[in-house]
Amino acid sequence: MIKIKDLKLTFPGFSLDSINLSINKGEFFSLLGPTGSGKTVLLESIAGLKRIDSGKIYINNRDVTNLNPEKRNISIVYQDCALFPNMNVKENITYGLRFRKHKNYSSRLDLLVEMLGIEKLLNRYPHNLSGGEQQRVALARALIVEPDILLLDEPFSALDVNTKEIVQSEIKNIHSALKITTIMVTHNFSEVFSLAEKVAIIYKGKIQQVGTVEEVFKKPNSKFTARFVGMKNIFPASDIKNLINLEDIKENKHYIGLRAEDIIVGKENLQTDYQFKGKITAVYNNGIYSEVKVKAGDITFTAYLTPNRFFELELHENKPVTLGFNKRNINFISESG
Amino acid sequence: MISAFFGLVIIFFIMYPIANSLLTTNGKILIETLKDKEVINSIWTSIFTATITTIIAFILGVPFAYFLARNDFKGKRIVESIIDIPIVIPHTVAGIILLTIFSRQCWIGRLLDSLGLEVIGTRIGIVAAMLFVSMPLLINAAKDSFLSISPKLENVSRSLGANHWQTFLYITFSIGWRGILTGMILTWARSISEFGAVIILTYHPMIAPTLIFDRFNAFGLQYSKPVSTILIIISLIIFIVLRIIARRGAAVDKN
Repeated sequence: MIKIKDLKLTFPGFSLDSINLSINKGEFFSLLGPTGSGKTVLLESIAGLKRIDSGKIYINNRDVTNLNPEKRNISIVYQDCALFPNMNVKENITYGLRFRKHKNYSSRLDLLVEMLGIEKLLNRYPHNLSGGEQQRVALARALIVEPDILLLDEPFSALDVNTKEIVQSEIKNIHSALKITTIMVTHNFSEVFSLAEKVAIIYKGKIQQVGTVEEVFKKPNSKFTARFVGMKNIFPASDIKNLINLEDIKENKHYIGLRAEDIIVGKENLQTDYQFKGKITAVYNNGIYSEVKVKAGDITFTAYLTPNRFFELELHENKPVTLGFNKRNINFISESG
Repeated sequence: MISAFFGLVIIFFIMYPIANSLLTTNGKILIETLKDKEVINSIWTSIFTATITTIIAFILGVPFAYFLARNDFKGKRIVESIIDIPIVIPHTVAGIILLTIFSRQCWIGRLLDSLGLEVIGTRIGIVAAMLFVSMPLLINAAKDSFLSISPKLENVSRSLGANHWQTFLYITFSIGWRGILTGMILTWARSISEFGAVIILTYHPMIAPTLIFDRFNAFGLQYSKPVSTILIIISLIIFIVLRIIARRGAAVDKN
Protein backbone atom coordinates (compact mmCIF):
# COMPACT_ATOMS: atom_id res chain seq x y z
CA MET A 1 0.00 0.00 0.00
CA ILE A 2 2.79 2.46 0.97
CA LYS A 3 6.19 1.73 -0.49
CA ILE A 4 9.23 3.86 0.17
CA LYS A 5 12.27 3.11 -1.97
CA ASP A 6 15.76 4.47 -1.26
CA LEU A 7 14.48 7.73 0.15
CA LYS A 8 17.20 10.27 0.81
CA LEU A 9 16.88 13.72 2.28
CA THR A 10 19.66 15.99 3.52
CA PHE A 11 19.42 19.02 5.80
CA PRO A 12 22.34 20.96 7.22
CA GLY A 13 23.66 18.60 9.91
CA PHE A 14 21.07 15.90 9.33
CA SER A 15 20.08 13.37 6.70
CA LEU A 16 17.66 10.54 6.05
CA ASP A 17 19.62 7.81 4.36
CA SER A 18 18.36 5.00 2.11
CA ILE A 19 14.99 4.58 3.74
CA ASN A 20 13.11 1.52 2.50
CA LEU A 21 9.74 0.70 3.98
CA SER A 22 6.65 -1.20 3.03
CA ILE A 23 3.39 -0.66 4.90
CA ASN A 24 0.26 -2.71 4.23
CA LYS A 25 -3.22 -1.35 3.73
CA GLY A 26 -5.10 -0.87 6.98
CA GLU A 27 -1.99 -1.48 9.07
CA PHE A 28 -1.10 0.44 12.24
CA PHE A 29 2.59 1.11 11.69
CA SER A 30 4.90 2.91 14.07
CA LEU A 31 8.16 4.77 13.53
CA LEU A 32 10.05 4.55 16.79
CA GLY A 33 13.20 6.47 17.59
CA PRO A 34 14.77 9.01 19.92
CA THR A 35 14.37 12.78 19.48
CA GLY A 36 16.27 14.01 16.43
CA SER A 37 16.37 10.62 14.73
CA GLY A 38 14.44 11.85 11.68
CA LYS A 39 11.01 10.34 12.35
CA THR A 40 8.98 13.53 11.88
CA VAL A 41 10.93 14.47 8.75
CA LEU A 42 10.17 11.04 7.30
CA LEU A 43 6.50 11.47 8.19
CA GLU A 44 6.41 14.89 6.52
CA SER A 45 8.15 13.45 3.45
CA ILE A 46 5.41 10.85 3.13
CA ALA A 47 2.82 13.64 3.40
CA GLY A 48 4.66 15.63 0.71
CA LEU A 49 5.41 18.46 3.13
CA LYS A 50 9.17 17.96 2.72
CA ARG A 51 10.71 17.51 -0.71
CA ILE A 52 13.02 14.52 -0.84
CA ASP A 53 16.42 14.55 -2.59
CA SER A 54 16.06 11.13 -4.18
CA GLY A 55 14.08 7.92 -3.95
CA LYS A 56 10.44 7.11 -4.59
CA ILE A 57 7.24 7.04 -2.59
CA TYR A 58 4.34 4.91 -3.85
CA ILE A 59 0.83 4.90 -2.45
CA ASN A 60 -1.51 2.21 -3.81
CA ASN A 61 1.07 1.55 -6.55
CA ARG A 62 0.92 5.19 -7.65
CA ASP A 63 4.14 7.18 -7.68
CA VAL A 64 3.39 10.22 -5.48
CA THR A 65 7.01 11.37 -5.09
CA ASN A 66 6.42 14.68 -6.87
CA LEU A 67 2.78 15.15 -5.93
CA ASN A 68 1.77 18.19 -3.86
CA PRO A 69 0.56 17.40 -0.33
CA GLU A 70 -3.00 18.48 -1.08
CA LYS A 71 -3.26 15.79 -3.76
CA ARG A 72 -2.02 12.87 -1.68
CA ASN A 73 -5.08 12.39 0.55
CA ILE A 74 -2.93 11.96 3.63
CA SER A 75 -3.97 13.58 6.91
CA ILE A 76 -1.54 14.53 9.63
CA VAL A 77 -2.08 15.06 13.37
CA TYR A 78 0.72 16.82 15.22
CA GLN A 79 1.78 16.53 18.83
CA ASP A 80 0.61 20.09 19.58
CA CYS A 81 -2.57 19.45 17.51
CA ALA A 82 -2.01 22.54 15.32
CA LEU A 83 -5.67 23.57 15.54
CA PHE A 84 -6.51 26.73 13.61
CA PRO A 85 -6.91 29.43 16.28
CA ASN A 86 -9.09 31.58 14.01
CA MET A 87 -11.79 28.90 13.72
CA ASN A 88 -14.09 27.23 16.22
CA VAL A 89 -14.10 23.46 16.68
CA LYS A 90 -16.72 22.77 14.02
CA GLU A 91 -14.95 25.01 11.51
CA ASN A 92 -11.68 23.29 12.32
CA ILE A 93 -13.16 19.83 11.80
CA THR A 94 -14.91 20.71 8.54
CA TYR A 95 -12.00 22.78 7.13
CA GLY A 96 -10.88 20.02 4.75
CA LEU A 97 -14.38 19.76 3.26
CA ARG A 98 -13.88 23.17 1.63
CA PHE A 99 -11.45 21.45 -0.73
CA ARG A 100 -12.49 17.82 -0.71
CA LYS A 101 -16.20 17.39 -1.20
CA HIS A 102 -17.67 14.29 0.39
CA LYS A 103 -21.23 13.20 -0.13
CA ASN A 104 -22.14 12.08 3.36
CA TYR A 105 -20.05 14.54 5.23
CA SER A 106 -22.72 15.55 7.72
CA SER A 107 -23.31 11.96 8.85
CA ARG A 108 -19.53 11.46 8.98
CA LEU A 109 -19.22 14.60 11.09
CA ASP A 110 -21.88 13.24 13.45
CA LEU A 111 -20.16 9.85 13.59
CA LEU A 112 -16.71 11.28 14.37
CA VAL A 113 -18.03 13.80 16.87
CA GLU A 114 -19.91 11.03 18.68
CA MET A 115 -17.01 8.59 18.50
CA LEU A 116 -14.67 11.12 20.04
CA GLY A 117 -17.21 12.56 22.49
CA ILE A 118 -16.78 16.17 21.37
CA GLU A 119 -20.45 17.06 20.72
CA LYS A 120 -20.44 19.84 23.30
CA LEU A 121 -17.26 21.46 22.02
CA LEU A 122 -18.36 22.39 18.50
CA ASN A 123 -18.79 26.11 19.14
CA ARG A 124 -15.73 26.51 21.33
CA TYR A 125 -12.38 27.92 20.18
CA PRO A 126 -9.10 25.95 20.46
CA HIS A 127 -7.67 28.10 23.26
CA ASN A 128 -10.62 27.06 25.45
CA LEU A 129 -9.95 23.33 25.08
CA SER A 130 -7.89 20.97 27.23
CA GLY A 131 -5.00 19.00 25.73
CA GLY A 132 -7.10 15.86 25.33
CA GLU A 133 -9.99 17.78 23.76
CA GLN A 134 -7.62 19.46 21.29
CA GLN A 135 -6.19 16.07 20.32
CA ARG A 136 -9.71 14.70 19.69
CA VAL A 137 -10.63 17.69 17.53
CA ALA A 138 -7.40 17.30 15.55
CA LEU A 139 -8.24 13.63 15.00
CA ALA A 140 -11.77 14.43 13.83
CA ARG A 141 -10.40 17.11 11.47
CA ALA A 142 -7.92 14.62 10.02
CA LEU A 143 -10.48 11.86 9.60
CA ILE A 144 -13.44 13.75 8.14
CA VAL A 145 -11.81 13.93 4.69
CA GLU A 146 -11.58 10.14 4.58
CA PRO A 147 -7.82 10.01 4.12
CA ASP A 148 -6.05 7.00 2.64
CA ILE A 149 -3.37 7.39 5.29
CA LEU A 150 -3.42 8.91 8.76
CA LEU A 151 -0.12 10.22 10.11
CA LEU A 152 0.24 10.74 13.86
CA ASP A 153 3.27 12.72 15.04
CA GLU A 154 3.90 12.00 18.74
CA PRO A 155 0.16 12.26 19.44
CA PHE A 156 0.41 11.60 23.17
CA SER A 157 3.53 13.40 24.33
CA ALA A 158 1.69 16.59 25.30
CA LEU A 159 -0.98 14.72 27.30
CA ASP A 160 -1.09 13.79 30.99
CA VAL A 161 -1.02 10.09 31.87
CA ASN A 162 -4.79 9.62 32.34
CA THR A 163 -5.77 11.55 29.20
CA LYS A 164 -3.09 9.70 27.26
CA GLU A 165 -4.65 6.33 28.16
CA ILE A 166 -8.12 7.52 27.13
CA VAL A 167 -6.97 9.01 23.80
CA GLN A 168 -4.88 5.90 23.14
CA SER A 169 -7.92 3.67 23.45
CA GLU A 170 -9.95 6.07 21.30
CA ILE A 171 -7.31 5.88 18.56
CA LYS A 172 -7.34 2.10 18.84
CA ASN A 173 -11.14 2.05 18.48
CA ILE A 174 -11.06 4.43 15.52
CA HIS A 175 -8.45 2.31 13.79
CA SER A 176 -10.48 -0.86 14.31
CA ALA A 177 -13.66 0.84 13.10
CA LEU A 178 -12.33 2.76 10.09
CA LYS A 179 -9.36 0.57 9.09
CA ILE A 180 -7.32 3.54 7.94
CA THR A 181 -3.64 2.87 7.28
CA THR A 182 -1.95 4.67 10.15
CA ILE A 183 1.68 5.66 10.73
CA MET A 184 2.49 6.87 14.22
CA VAL A 185 5.77 8.49 15.15
CA THR A 186 6.84 8.14 18.76
CA HIS A 187 9.85 7.82 21.04
CA ASN A 188 7.92 5.74 23.54
CA PHE A 189 7.94 1.97 23.10
CA SER A 190 4.95 1.42 25.39
CA GLU A 191 2.79 3.44 22.95
CA VAL A 192 3.98 1.21 20.12
CA PHE A 193 3.24 -1.82 22.22
CA SER A 194 -0.33 -0.86 22.95
CA LEU A 195 -1.26 0.38 19.46
CA ALA A 196 0.94 -0.74 16.58
CA GLU A 197 1.11 -3.96 14.62
CA LYS A 198 4.43 -3.27 12.96
CA VAL A 199 7.30 -1.01 13.92
CA ALA A 200 10.41 0.45 12.33
CA ILE A 201 13.22 1.58 14.60
CA ILE A 202 14.87 4.72 13.26
CA TYR A 203 18.12 6.21 14.53
CA LYS A 204 20.36 8.91 13.08
CA GLY A 205 18.32 9.00 9.88
CA LYS A 206 18.56 5.26 9.23
CA ILE A 207 16.11 2.41 9.70
CA GLN A 208 17.68 0.00 12.18
CA GLN A 209 15.06 -2.73 12.24
CA VAL A 210 11.58 -3.39 10.88
CA GLY A 211 9.22 -6.09 12.05
CA THR A 212 6.13 -6.93 14.04
CA VAL A 213 6.08 -5.36 17.47
CA GLU A 214 6.62 -8.77 19.03
CA GLU A 215 9.63 -9.53 16.82
CA VAL A 216 11.36 -6.26 17.57
CA PHE A 217 10.52 -6.51 21.25
CA LYS A 218 11.79 -10.05 21.59
CA LYS A 219 14.60 -10.11 19.05
CA PRO A 220 16.20 -6.67 18.75
CA ASN A 221 18.96 -6.82 16.17
CA SER A 222 21.28 -4.19 17.59
CA LYS A 223 22.45 -2.86 20.92
CA PHE A 224 20.68 0.43 20.19
CA THR A 225 17.34 -1.23 19.40
CA ALA A 226 17.68 -3.53 22.39
CA ARG A 227 18.13 -0.54 24.71
CA PHE A 228 15.36 1.36 23.00
CA VAL A 229 12.79 -1.41 23.45
CA GLY A 230 13.61 -1.54 27.14
CA MET A 231 16.19 -4.32 27.34
CA LYS A 232 18.05 -3.41 30.49
CA ASN A 233 20.79 -6.06 30.45
CA ILE A 234 23.19 -5.91 27.51
CA PHE A 235 26.67 -7.35 27.99
CA PRO A 236 29.61 -8.49 25.92
CA ALA A 237 29.22 -12.25 25.45
CA SER A 238 32.75 -12.79 26.77
CA ASP A 239 31.81 -11.23 30.14
CA ILE A 240 28.86 -13.54 30.69
CA LYS A 241 30.92 -16.57 29.67
CA ASN A 242 32.87 -16.09 32.88
CA LEU A 243 29.68 -16.62 34.89
CA ILE A 244 27.92 -19.46 33.09
CA ASN A 245 28.81 -22.10 30.59
CA LEU A 246 27.02 -20.75 27.55
CA GLU A 247 27.83 -23.24 24.82
CA ASP A 248 25.90 -21.90 21.89
CA ILE A 249 27.44 -18.44 21.72
CA LYS A 250 28.46 -18.01 18.13
CA GLU A 251 31.56 -16.19 17.11
CA ASN A 252 29.67 -13.29 15.52
CA LYS A 253 27.34 -12.74 18.45
CA HIS A 254 29.22 -10.09 20.33
CA TYR A 255 26.54 -9.11 22.79
CA ILE A 256 23.92 -10.80 24.89
CA GLY A 257 20.66 -9.15 25.90
CA LEU A 258 18.27 -10.07 28.70
CA ARG A 259 15.08 -8.32 29.70
CA ALA A 260 14.95 -7.26 33.35
CA GLU A 261 11.64 -9.08 33.83
CA ASP A 262 13.19 -12.36 32.58
CA ILE A 263 15.82 -12.41 35.32
CA ILE A 264 14.76 -14.36 38.39
CA VAL A 265 16.01 -13.36 41.83
CA GLY A 266 15.89 -15.88 44.70
CA LYS A 267 17.67 -17.20 47.72
CA GLU A 268 19.05 -20.39 46.07
CA ASN A 269 18.19 -23.33 43.77
CA LEU A 270 16.12 -21.54 41.14
CA GLN A 271 14.19 -23.52 38.53
CA THR A 272 16.02 -21.85 35.64
CA ASP A 273 18.40 -23.07 32.92
CA TYR A 274 21.25 -20.94 34.28
CA GLN A 275 21.95 -19.62 37.76
CA PHE A 276 24.78 -17.93 39.65
CA LYS A 277 25.48 -15.95 42.81
CA GLY A 278 25.58 -12.18 43.13
CA LYS A 279 25.26 -9.30 45.59
CA ILE A 280 22.62 -6.55 45.58
CA THR A 281 24.09 -3.11 44.91
CA ALA A 282 20.91 -1.04 44.72
CA VAL A 283 17.13 -1.36 45.10
CA TYR A 284 14.33 0.95 43.83
CA ASN A 285 10.65 0.64 44.59
CA ASN A 286 7.91 2.57 42.82
CA GLY A 287 4.91 0.69 44.23
CA ILE A 288 4.10 -1.06 40.95
CA TYR A 289 7.35 -2.97 40.53
CA SER A 290 10.72 -3.21 42.25
CA GLU A 291 14.02 -2.84 40.47
CA VAL A 292 17.07 -4.59 41.86
CA LYS A 293 20.69 -4.17 40.73
CA VAL A 294 22.82 -7.24 41.37
CA LYS A 295 26.57 -7.46 40.77
CA ALA A 296 27.83 -10.87 39.65
CA GLY A 297 31.38 -11.18 38.37
CA ASP A 298 32.10 -8.06 36.31
CA ILE A 299 28.45 -7.51 35.38
CA THR A 300 25.72 -5.57 37.13
CA PHE A 301 22.35 -7.10 36.26
CA THR A 302 19.00 -5.33 36.51
CA ALA A 303 15.99 -7.41 37.51
CA TYR A 304 12.31 -6.49 38.02
CA LEU A 305 10.26 -8.09 40.76
CA THR A 306 6.72 -7.66 41.99
CA PRO A 307 6.62 -5.73 45.29
CA ASN A 308 5.23 -8.87 46.98
CA ARG A 309 8.18 -10.97 45.86
CA PHE A 310 10.52 -8.16 46.85
CA PHE A 311 9.25 -8.07 50.43
CA GLU A 312 9.02 -11.87 50.63
CA LEU A 313 12.74 -12.17 49.86
CA GLU A 314 13.58 -9.32 52.26
CA LEU A 315 15.94 -7.77 49.74
CA HIS A 316 18.28 -4.96 50.67
CA GLU A 317 21.65 -3.59 49.59
CA ASN A 318 24.67 -5.90 50.01
CA LYS A 319 22.47 -8.98 50.45
CA PRO A 320 23.81 -12.06 48.60
CA VAL A 321 21.23 -13.56 46.20
CA THR A 322 20.99 -16.12 43.43
CA LEU A 323 20.23 -14.90 39.90
CA GLY A 324 18.85 -17.08 37.15
CA PHE A 325 17.40 -16.96 33.64
CA ASN A 326 16.26 -19.35 30.94
CA LYS A 327 17.92 -20.09 27.64
CA ARG A 328 14.86 -19.02 25.62
CA ASN A 329 15.08 -15.50 27.03
CA ILE A 330 18.63 -14.88 25.85
CA ASN A 331 18.99 -12.52 22.89
CA PHE A 332 22.11 -12.72 20.80
CA ILE A 333 23.06 -9.36 19.35
CA SER A 334 25.56 -9.48 16.56
CA GLU A 335 26.79 -5.93 16.35
CA SER A 336 27.79 -3.22 18.75
CA GLY A 337 25.10 -0.73 17.56
CA MET B 1 7.46 53.17 41.41
CA ILE B 2 10.22 55.15 39.76
CA SER B 3 9.52 53.34 36.49
CA ALA B 4 5.89 54.52 36.64
CA PHE B 5 7.15 58.06 37.18
CA PHE B 6 9.41 57.76 34.13
CA GLY B 7 6.36 56.53 32.22
CA LEU B 8 4.46 59.67 33.25
CA VAL B 9 7.36 61.84 32.07
CA ILE B 10 7.32 60.08 28.68
CA ILE B 11 3.54 60.39 28.29
CA PHE B 12 3.75 64.07 29.24
CA PHE B 13 6.56 64.62 26.76
CA ILE B 14 4.46 63.15 23.95
CA MET B 15 1.03 64.45 24.85
CA TYR B 16 1.71 67.96 26.13
CA PRO B 17 3.04 69.44 22.85
CA ILE B 18 0.15 67.86 20.93
CA ALA B 19 -2.47 69.05 23.39
CA ASN B 20 -0.84 72.44 23.56
CA SER B 21 -0.93 72.78 19.78
CA LEU B 22 -4.60 71.75 19.68
CA LEU B 23 -5.66 74.04 22.52
CA THR B 24 -3.69 77.17 21.70
CA THR B 25 -4.44 77.42 18.00
CA ASN B 26 -6.51 80.45 17.24
CA GLY B 27 -9.98 79.22 16.20
CA LYS B 28 -10.51 81.98 13.68
CA ILE B 29 -7.24 81.31 11.93
CA LEU B 30 -7.98 77.57 12.06
CA ILE B 31 -11.28 78.05 10.19
CA GLU B 32 -9.59 80.37 7.70
CA THR B 33 -6.86 77.79 7.20
CA LEU B 34 -9.47 75.10 6.53
CA LYS B 35 -10.81 77.25 3.68
CA ASP B 36 -7.31 77.67 2.25
CA LYS B 37 -7.09 75.60 -0.96
CA GLU B 38 -3.32 75.21 -0.67
CA VAL B 39 -3.71 73.70 2.80
CA ILE B 40 -6.48 71.32 1.70
CA ASN B 41 -4.46 70.29 -1.35
CA SER B 42 -1.34 69.60 0.69
CA ILE B 43 -3.23 67.54 3.25
CA TRP B 44 -4.97 65.62 0.47
CA THR B 45 -1.59 65.01 -1.23
CA SER B 46 -0.19 63.73 2.06
CA ILE B 47 -3.09 61.33 2.66
CA PHE B 48 -3.21 60.20 -0.97
CA THR B 49 0.53 59.53 -1.33
CA ALA B 50 0.80 57.88 2.11
CA THR B 51 -2.09 55.58 1.18
CA ILE B 52 -0.57 54.70 -2.21
CA THR B 53 2.76 54.08 -0.45
CA THR B 54 1.09 51.75 2.05
CA ILE B 55 -0.68 49.82 -0.73
CA ILE B 56 2.59 49.39 -2.68
CA ALA B 57 4.44 48.40 0.51
CA PHE B 58 1.70 45.85 1.20
CA ILE B 59 1.80 44.34 -2.31
CA LEU B 60 5.61 44.11 -2.41
CA GLY B 61 6.37 43.65 1.27
CA VAL B 62 3.91 40.99 2.47
CA PRO B 63 4.99 38.21 0.06
CA PHE B 64 8.63 39.08 0.76
CA ALA B 65 8.03 39.07 4.53
CA TYR B 66 6.39 35.64 4.17
CA PHE B 67 9.36 34.40 2.17
CA LEU B 68 11.76 35.61 4.88
CA ALA B 69 9.70 34.10 7.67
CA ARG B 70 9.47 30.66 6.08
CA ASN B 71 12.85 30.19 4.42
CA ASP B 72 16.41 29.89 5.63
CA PHE B 73 19.13 30.61 3.13
CA LYS B 74 22.72 31.73 2.97
CA GLY B 75 22.98 35.48 3.42
CA LYS B 76 19.51 35.81 5.02
CA ARG B 77 20.90 38.00 7.81
CA ILE B 78 22.51 40.29 5.26
CA VAL B 79 19.21 40.61 3.40
CA GLU B 80 17.41 41.40 6.67
CA SER B 81 20.03 44.01 7.52
CA ILE B 82 19.64 45.62 4.10
CA ILE B 83 15.90 45.95 4.70
CA ASP B 84 16.61 47.83 7.92
CA ILE B 85 19.11 50.28 6.39
CA PRO B 86 16.49 52.99 5.57
CA ILE B 87 15.62 53.11 9.28
CA VAL B 88 19.14 54.23 10.23
CA ILE B 89 19.82 56.57 7.31
CA PRO B 90 19.01 60.25 8.05
CA HIS B 91 16.00 61.10 5.93
CA THR B 92 17.61 64.02 4.17
CA VAL B 93 20.38 61.63 3.16
CA ALA B 94 17.73 59.22 1.88
CA GLY B 95 16.33 62.11 -0.18
CA ILE B 96 19.77 62.91 -1.61
CA ILE B 97 20.55 59.33 -2.64
CA LEU B 98 17.12 58.91 -4.19
CA LEU B 99 17.52 62.21 -6.04
CA THR B 100 20.83 60.90 -7.39
CA ILE B 101 19.39 57.70 -8.83
CA PHE B 102 16.25 59.35 -10.21
CA SER B 103 18.16 62.18 -11.89
CA ARG B 104 19.17 61.92 -15.53
CA GLN B 105 22.77 61.32 -14.50
CA CYS B 106 21.84 57.80 -13.40
CA TRP B 107 20.67 55.03 -15.75
CA ILE B 108 17.55 54.44 -13.62
CA GLY B 109 16.54 58.08 -14.01
CA ARG B 110 17.20 57.92 -17.77
CA LEU B 111 15.26 54.64 -18.08
CA LEU B 112 12.24 56.06 -16.24
CA ASP B 113 12.51 59.20 -18.29
CA SER B 114 12.45 57.20 -21.53
CA LEU B 115 9.31 55.46 -20.25
CA GLY B 116 7.73 58.86 -19.68
CA LEU B 117 7.83 58.53 -15.88
CA GLU B 118 8.93 61.69 -14.17
CA VAL B 119 9.84 61.11 -10.53
CA ILE B 120 11.51 64.28 -9.29
CA GLY B 121 9.04 67.03 -8.50
CA THR B 122 5.97 64.78 -8.86
CA ARG B 123 3.73 62.68 -6.67
CA ILE B 124 5.69 59.63 -7.82
CA GLY B 125 8.72 61.19 -6.15
CA ILE B 126 6.77 61.70 -2.93
CA VAL B 127 5.67 58.05 -2.97
CA ALA B 128 9.24 56.88 -3.76
CA ALA B 129 10.63 58.84 -0.79
CA MET B 130 7.88 57.63 1.55
CA LEU B 131 8.29 54.04 0.39
CA PHE B 132 12.05 54.10 0.95
CA VAL B 133 11.78 55.22 4.56
CA SER B 134 8.65 53.36 5.62
CA MET B 135 8.68 49.97 3.90
CA PRO B 136 10.97 48.30 6.49
CA LEU B 137 8.26 48.86 9.11
CA LEU B 138 5.69 46.86 7.15
CA ILE B 139 8.10 44.09 6.16
CA ASN B 140 9.30 43.63 9.74
CA ALA B 141 5.81 43.71 11.24
CA ALA B 142 4.50 41.22 8.66
CA LYS B 143 7.54 38.97 9.10
CA ASP B 144 7.10 38.91 12.90
CA SER B 145 3.44 38.14 12.41
CA PHE B 146 4.19 35.21 10.07
CA LEU B 147 6.93 33.93 12.38
CA SER B 148 4.42 33.73 15.22
CA ILE B 149 2.28 31.32 13.16
CA SER B 150 3.45 27.71 13.36
CA PRO B 151 4.28 26.25 9.93
CA LYS B 152 2.51 23.13 11.21
CA LEU B 153 -0.83 24.94 10.76
CA GLU B 154 0.04 25.40 7.10
CA ASN B 155 1.16 21.77 6.83
CA VAL B 156 -2.15 20.56 8.23
CA SER B 157 -4.05 22.82 5.84
CA ARG B 158 -2.08 21.49 2.85
CA SER B 159 -2.62 17.89 3.92
CA LEU B 160 -6.36 18.57 4.19
CA GLY B 161 -6.53 19.57 0.53
CA ALA B 162 -5.78 23.31 0.43
CA ASN B 163 -3.20 24.50 -2.08
CA HIS B 164 -0.52 27.10 -1.35
CA TRP B 165 -2.75 30.11 -2.01
CA GLN B 166 -5.76 28.74 -0.18
CA THR B 167 -3.55 27.94 2.81
CA PHE B 168 -2.08 31.44 2.77
CA LEU B 169 -5.51 33.02 2.52
CA TYR B 170 -7.49 30.90 4.99
CA ILE B 171 -4.76 30.19 7.52
CA THR B 172 -1.64 32.35 7.40
CA PHE B 173 -3.19 35.67 6.39
CA SER B 174 -6.36 35.00 8.29
CA ILE B 175 -4.41 34.51 11.52
CA GLY B 176 -1.66 37.06 10.89
CA TRP B 177 -3.66 39.95 9.42
CA ARG B 178 -3.63 41.99 12.62
CA GLY B 179 0.16 42.05 12.64
CA ILE B 180 0.15 43.05 8.99
CA LEU B 181 -2.45 45.76 9.65
CA THR B 182 -0.26 47.09 12.46
CA GLY B 183 2.61 47.21 9.95
CA MET B 184 0.37 49.07 7.49
CA ILE B 185 -0.65 51.58 10.17
CA LEU B 186 3.00 52.21 11.01
CA THR B 187 3.90 52.52 7.32
CA TRP B 188 1.07 54.95 6.71
CA ALA B 189 1.90 56.97 9.83
CA ARG B 190 5.58 57.07 8.92
CA SER B 191 4.69 58.18 5.39
CA ILE B 192 2.34 60.92 6.56
CA SER B 193 5.03 62.27 8.85
CA GLU B 194 7.86 62.03 6.31
CA PHE B 195 9.46 65.33 5.43
CA GLY B 196 13.25 65.11 5.02
CA ALA B 197 13.37 62.72 2.08
CA VAL B 198 10.28 64.12 0.37
CA ILE B 199 11.35 67.78 0.41
CA ILE B 200 14.57 66.95 -1.45
CA LEU B 201 12.86 64.83 -4.08
CA THR B 202 9.63 66.80 -4.48
CA TYR B 203 9.06 70.27 -3.06
CA HIS B 204 6.04 70.82 -5.27
CA PRO B 205 3.34 69.46 -5.17
CA MET B 206 3.54 70.07 -1.46
CA ILE B 207 2.66 67.55 1.19
CA ALA B 208 1.39 68.95 4.48
CA PRO B 209 4.76 68.81 6.33
CA THR B 210 6.39 70.70 3.42
CA LEU B 211 3.64 73.34 3.55
CA ILE B 212 4.08 73.69 7.30
CA PHE B 213 7.81 74.17 6.81
CA ASP B 214 7.17 76.60 3.95
CA ARG B 215 4.73 78.69 5.99
CA PHE B 216 6.97 78.62 9.03
CA ASN B 217 9.85 79.96 6.96
CA ALA B 218 7.77 82.59 5.18
CA PHE B 219 5.24 83.70 7.81
CA GLY B 220 6.37 82.28 11.16
CA LEU B 221 4.86 80.09 13.86
CA GLN B 222 1.40 81.67 13.92
CA TYR B 223 0.63 80.65 10.34
CA SER B 224 2.29 77.24 10.38
CA LYS B 225 0.58 76.12 13.60
CA PRO B 226 -3.02 75.85 12.26
CA VAL B 227 -1.85 73.60 9.44
CA SER B 228 0.02 71.47 12.00
CA THR B 229 -3.11 71.27 14.14
CA ILE B 230 -5.26 70.15 11.21
CA LEU B 231 -2.67 67.52 10.25
CA ILE B 232 -2.55 66.27 13.85
CA ILE B 233 -6.36 65.98 14.02
CA ILE B 234 -6.65 64.12 10.69
CA SER B 235 -3.73 61.80 11.45
CA LEU B 236 -5.08 60.99 14.91
CA ILE B 237 -8.57 60.25 13.58
CA ILE B 238 -7.23 57.83 10.95
CA PHE B 239 -4.79 56.30 13.41
CA ILE B 240 -7.50 55.72 16.03
CA VAL B 241 -9.95 54.24 13.49
CA LEU B 242 -7.33 51.76 12.25
CA ARG B 243 -6.39 50.84 15.83
CA ILE B 244 -10.05 50.15 16.63
CA ILE B 245 -10.31 47.89 13.58
CA ALA B 246 -7.21 45.96 14.71
CA ARG B 247 -8.60 45.71 18.28
CA ARG B 248 -11.99 44.50 17.05
CA GLY B 249 -10.24 41.83 14.99
CA ALA B 250 -8.46 40.68 18.12
CA ALA B 251 -11.72 40.50 20.05
CA VAL B 252 -13.45 38.51 17.27
CA ASP B 253 -10.53 36.06 17.11
CA LYS B 254 -10.66 35.51 20.86
CA ASN B 255 -14.31 34.52 20.78
